[in-house]
Order: sequence, then structure tokens, then C-alpha cells
Amino acid sequence: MRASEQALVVRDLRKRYPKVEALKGVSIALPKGEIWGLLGPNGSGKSTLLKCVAGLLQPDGGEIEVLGLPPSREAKAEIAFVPEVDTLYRWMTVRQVLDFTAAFYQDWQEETAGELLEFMRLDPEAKVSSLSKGMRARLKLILALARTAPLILLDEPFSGIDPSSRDRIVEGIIRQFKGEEQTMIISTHAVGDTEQLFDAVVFLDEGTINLQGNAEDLRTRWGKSINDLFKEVFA
Amino acid sequence: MKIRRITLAILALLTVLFVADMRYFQPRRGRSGQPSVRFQVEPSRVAHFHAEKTQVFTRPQGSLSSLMLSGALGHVELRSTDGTELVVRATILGETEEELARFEVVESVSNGEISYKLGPQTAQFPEVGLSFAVEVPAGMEVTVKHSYGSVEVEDFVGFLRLLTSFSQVTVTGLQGSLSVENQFGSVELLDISGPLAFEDAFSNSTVLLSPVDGGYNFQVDVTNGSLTGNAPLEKEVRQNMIKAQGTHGEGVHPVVIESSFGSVNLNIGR
Amino acid sequence: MKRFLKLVLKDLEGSRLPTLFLSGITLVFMAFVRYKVSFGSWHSQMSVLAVALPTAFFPLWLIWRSFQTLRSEWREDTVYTLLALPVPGWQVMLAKLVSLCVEYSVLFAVTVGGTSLFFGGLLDELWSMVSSLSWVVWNGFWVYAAGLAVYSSLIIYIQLAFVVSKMVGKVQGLVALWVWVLASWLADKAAVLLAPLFRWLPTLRLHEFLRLNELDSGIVFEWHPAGQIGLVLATVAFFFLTGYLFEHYVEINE
Repeated sequence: MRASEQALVVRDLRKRYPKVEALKGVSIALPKGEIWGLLGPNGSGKSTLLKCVAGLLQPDGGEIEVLGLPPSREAKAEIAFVPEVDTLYRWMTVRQVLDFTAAFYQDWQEETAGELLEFMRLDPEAKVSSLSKGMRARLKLILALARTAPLILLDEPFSGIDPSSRDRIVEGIIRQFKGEEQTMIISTHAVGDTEQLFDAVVFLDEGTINLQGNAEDLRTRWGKSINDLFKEVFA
Repeated sequence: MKIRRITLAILALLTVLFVADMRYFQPRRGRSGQPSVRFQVEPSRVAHFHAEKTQVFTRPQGSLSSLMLSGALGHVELRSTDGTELVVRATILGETEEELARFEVVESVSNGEISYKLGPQTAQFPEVGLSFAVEVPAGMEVTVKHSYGSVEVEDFVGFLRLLTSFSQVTVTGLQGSLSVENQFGSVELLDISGPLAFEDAFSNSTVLLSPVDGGYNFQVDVTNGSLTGNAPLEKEVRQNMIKAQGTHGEGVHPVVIESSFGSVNLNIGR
Repeated sequence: MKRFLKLVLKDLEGSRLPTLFLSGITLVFMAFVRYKVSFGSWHSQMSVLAVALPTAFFPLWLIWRSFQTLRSEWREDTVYTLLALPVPGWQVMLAKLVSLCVEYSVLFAVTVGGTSLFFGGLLDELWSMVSSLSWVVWNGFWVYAAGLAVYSSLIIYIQLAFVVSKMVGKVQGLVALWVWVLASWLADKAAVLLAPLFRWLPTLRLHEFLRLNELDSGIVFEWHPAGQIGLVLATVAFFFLTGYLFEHYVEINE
């Protein structure tokens, strides 16, 4: 299979911080059209992996290919990354955030953005600084889902938000994900309700991959849900 | 981590080069540099005065040890004599004689210093000018403050201090010590024998030292300017700064020159 | 171009409040001094203070702002957004440069406008010295432009120092300061090395260009640009280096 037929190929990826080696030679290949769960406890290297793919961290070794492209400006244009932290300019209104993002991505769908705004129940004139954490998480998700980016990276999208926001986000993902042209990676340490989303999963622990495969295959092989498997692996 | 290590390595390499450059190559000794900026203001041509009033003061030197002259918009002539009398010819310059009637030159003596300046106290120089022609007994200490005009000193023996601005200053023949602080205009110090302290900004200056017993010790700093002449100087040239030092003979008499935004031509006569 | 403009607008919007705040404070301060002077509470020489204080403070403020516009991206995690954008790093840096130059222009206008508005009377003496209003406007513009050029280069050095300090990640203040020193030294080296190549450039008679002769026929103000060409080229190179480092090597905080 040629690399460009994969949405994401990571080979022997290494990343070291001053006091810890976050990624110890991670290799994965994600085919197009699937939603992957990147699962692992806090500090397992999930966020580091996504940030390396998004170009926000520079690996110490290994290779990354996004749709066959090495890390580059062109590759960034194909990625929609939603980090865990608040990355929005707080003085902007919701409308300004959308307009700002729209200017940089050719795959921005204005109509979809409008629909998502309504679905996520956000006031376009509200200032980011006045939004709750759940609202900001929903807004960040709109920024990713209003695009037809071939690769969507969601880093802990459900972390620390209220259940209603979580449900909206899950529903939003299910509604907007275009399986035929998009690939999505969702990193999380709380599998629970989100298990239904994943076509495949990668278990990451202390910078190495413990387990990976098709979600249904794993359920069949181990005779338990991904959530139970997660608990067993990281017990 | 890799990027940090590479960055630190590059910074370390540059630091080594920087230190080596500072230690071994900067400043480049003996290299002559030309300033990239030249700024100069010649003395303003003041309005022509049509009237003048002269007062002459003749005083025996007695216990007087120093003389202070404060003038502007006029001409100062100063020279030493072998006599024991101090002769000050002060000329007030103005537009009309009626106007001049309001002014007079005020003489005052304090702690062995005799001084001459324009009076009354409310008088201001742009309205009128004040010139001096002075003869002083040799060995006296003289201070001249003068702006917007010219100062000419000839065959002076003693201690001379010139505080000038926007003036053409010429000293020809001096034995003793000379201190000059000048801004704008031009300065010519010729046939000077003895220590010299010269601070100058925004003007062109020429210094010609006469050979003396004991010789000279030079310390010259020129910022944004040029330094020429035959004085035996070892120059250190930075981008816009020249530091020079050197000795002539035994290097007894200090010659300290600080100049900015001007040119200095420093020579020793034969 | 649309992307670049969005970046500029974003940075302009971000600097709007602090600039308006400082401009307002300055004008209020000038008005207060004017009021005190008008009613005889303060000596008229205090007016000089009202003009001198902002003039002395603004450069420090602008240097701080150059640093702060980058620092806030990391502090508020908005650097995630910037680094993820598919735009050249130099455009991100140029947008910040442009918005800071606008900030400089606003503060320059506030100083000039406030001085004219509140202390116009004090300028009477100055007016009598200059030849015409057009002379003042002409030279005022060049003072503004020269200040802008100096400030722009300063921003470029601050940006480079900040970006490299982020690449090192530790003792960032000291690293930034040291990078600034090294960059200035390198630029100086470039100026010295390249100066002979540009000796052929003519000496510019600025006193004629600025019409200083009209003030006093004795004014001579000449500039030979050979020594500065290398400095300018090095500064431009540093600008693009900063953009390249930002795009390819800078990381978010971890």
C-alpha cells in the first residue's frame, strides 16, 4: 500500500522532554475513512503524538506523513487540530473566531459552520471570554468540523466538560464526519460513552503502543468492550 | 530536545566567535575609518549691529589672579602682555544708540577673580552683542564664555579656559595650559605649548602643538567623526568611534581630546 | 493576501485596547498639565514635562509591546492556533511588525496632536524659527519615518531573540537577551564586511533634502550609507530567519 493511500503514517516517532521520553518509537498507519481512538492514561504520550502530527511539536526522531506529505505548510492545510487547551483569542466574538479560521482554510464550509453554530447553541455575537468551558470546547469543535479537512485530530475533546456539552460534541462528530473523505483521531483517557465512535483504537502507554486494531475485532477477540479492555490494560 | 541541543550548540559557537572577535579583532588597531554621518553647523550670521558703545577698564593686577569674560554675538580678542595692568575694552553692540543706553558692562571682583559681563541682569544677548579686546598680564588665569561670534587669542601666557558655542575660535601661540569646551562652529588651536583639554561637538577643529620639553601624552576619543594629523597615535576604530592614544617624547603633558560629530586634525609642529 | 490581512487585523485588534488606553492616559495627562498651567498653579515650564514624559515613555512601552505581542501568544495558548495555520512564518511575524508599526504611528500622532492641541501657544517661538508649515510637515514626516525604521529593526531583533529563546526553552529571558547581543554583533560584522562593496554609493546631502539650509546656511548634514547597507541586509535576513524558525522549529509550551 502506498503511503499516500494512508491518512497518516507514523514511523518510529520519538519525542523527548527534558525529564521524560514522551514517545519511544511509535509507529502507526491509519487508513482513510475511519475514526480512531487514541487511548491511554494521562502522560501516556497521546497529546504529544497529536501535536507532533499537527506540527506543534518537533519530533526528535522518526517520520510523519500526512496523506503522503512530510510535515509542512501543505500538510498543515490538510489537518484540523483541536487541542485540549483553550487556544481561542479571548477578545474575539464567536463570529470573529469563525471568520478568522475561515480565512486560512480553503476547505472551510460556511454553510456547515452556520448549521453547527445553531446545533451547538452558540451565540455568534458572544465574546469568547464570556463562554463557559463547555461552550468553548463546542466552538473549537466547530472550527474542525466546519472544514472538510482529510485529517481531523481531536485531543481530549471531552475533558472537563459538562455531560450535555459532551453529548452535543459526540452528536456533532457523528453528524459531520464524512467517512468517505475524512479520517479522525480522538485522543481520550475516558473511553466510556465515546466507545461507539471508534472504528479502530490504539492503546498508548508511556510512549509505546500496547495494543492497536479494529475496534470490533478487539471486542470479539477479547470478549469485552473497549472500555473494559482499556481498564484492564491500564489497571 | 534535539532542537534545543542544536540551538544551544549554535549559540555557543556564535558566543565563542563573539568573544574571540571582541578579544582579538576588536577594535581593529591601526585601521582608519571614515564616519558615515557628518554633521556640522557653521556660526550663524547674526544681524548686523549699527550702533556700539565702548567702555574701557584698566586695572592693576595686584591681587587679581583670574579674569572672567562673558560675551556673545561679538568678537573677543585676547593677548598677554609683559605689563602688570589688565586692560579690558568692552563694546556693546546694538541696533540703535538709544537702545544701547539701557545696557552697560558690569565689572565685579570676588575672591581674586574679576569678571565682566553685560548688565543689567535682565539684559539678554539676542537683543545686543558684547565684544571684548583684552590685554592681560602674563600668567593670569582667564576664562572666556562666548557664543555666536568669534574668539581670537594671540600669544597668551597663563591658564586659559574657553567655553564657546557657535563661534569661530582661534588660539595662536599659547604657553601654559589650555582648556576648551566648544559646540558648533570651528576651532583652531595653533602653536600650543603645554597641557590641553579639549571637548568639542559638531565642529571641525585643528590642533597644532609645539614641541615642548617632556613631550605629550595623548588620549583622543572621536565619536561619529574623523581623526587626522601627524600626532603619533595608535588608533582603535569601531564603527562610529575612534579611540586613540600615544605619546610624544616623555609624555609629560596630557592632551585629552573628546570630539563628537566633527573632525579633529591633530598635529605636532617640527 | 487575505490571510495576511486577517493576521494583521487580528494583531491590530489585540493591540487596540492597550493603545487606546495609553493614548487616552497621555491626552488626559496633557490636558491636566495644560489646565494647571493655564490657571497658574504650575509654572509654564511644566508644559515641557507634559510633552517630554510621553516622548520618553513611549519607546519603552513599544519595546515592551514588541515582546509582549509574542509572549501573550504562548501565555494564552493561542500559539497553538498560529503554529497550526498553513501560512509562512514570516507572514505571522510581518503581521505583528505591521500592527506594532501602526501602534507606533498612533502614539506618534497622539504626541504630535496632543502637543499641538494643548500646548500650541508654546510653539509660537518655534514657529518663528522655522521657514514654513510645509517645512515642518516635511521634516516631521522624516522624523516619523526614521523613528519607524529604527523601531521596525528593533522589533525584528526582539522577535528573533524571543523565537530562539523559545527554541531553547530554559532561562528564556537571559537567552533572549544574549541572542539580541549576538544578533547585533552579527549585523555589525555584516555592516563592516559589506561596507567596501557599497563605497560607490553617493554621499547623501541630507541638509539639502531636509532643507536645513533654510534654518541656517551653515548647516551641513551628510550621510554615506555604505556602512549601513550590511546592517539593513542583516536585519532583513534576521527577519526571514525568524519566520523560518517560527514555522519549522518553534514549539508550543510543554
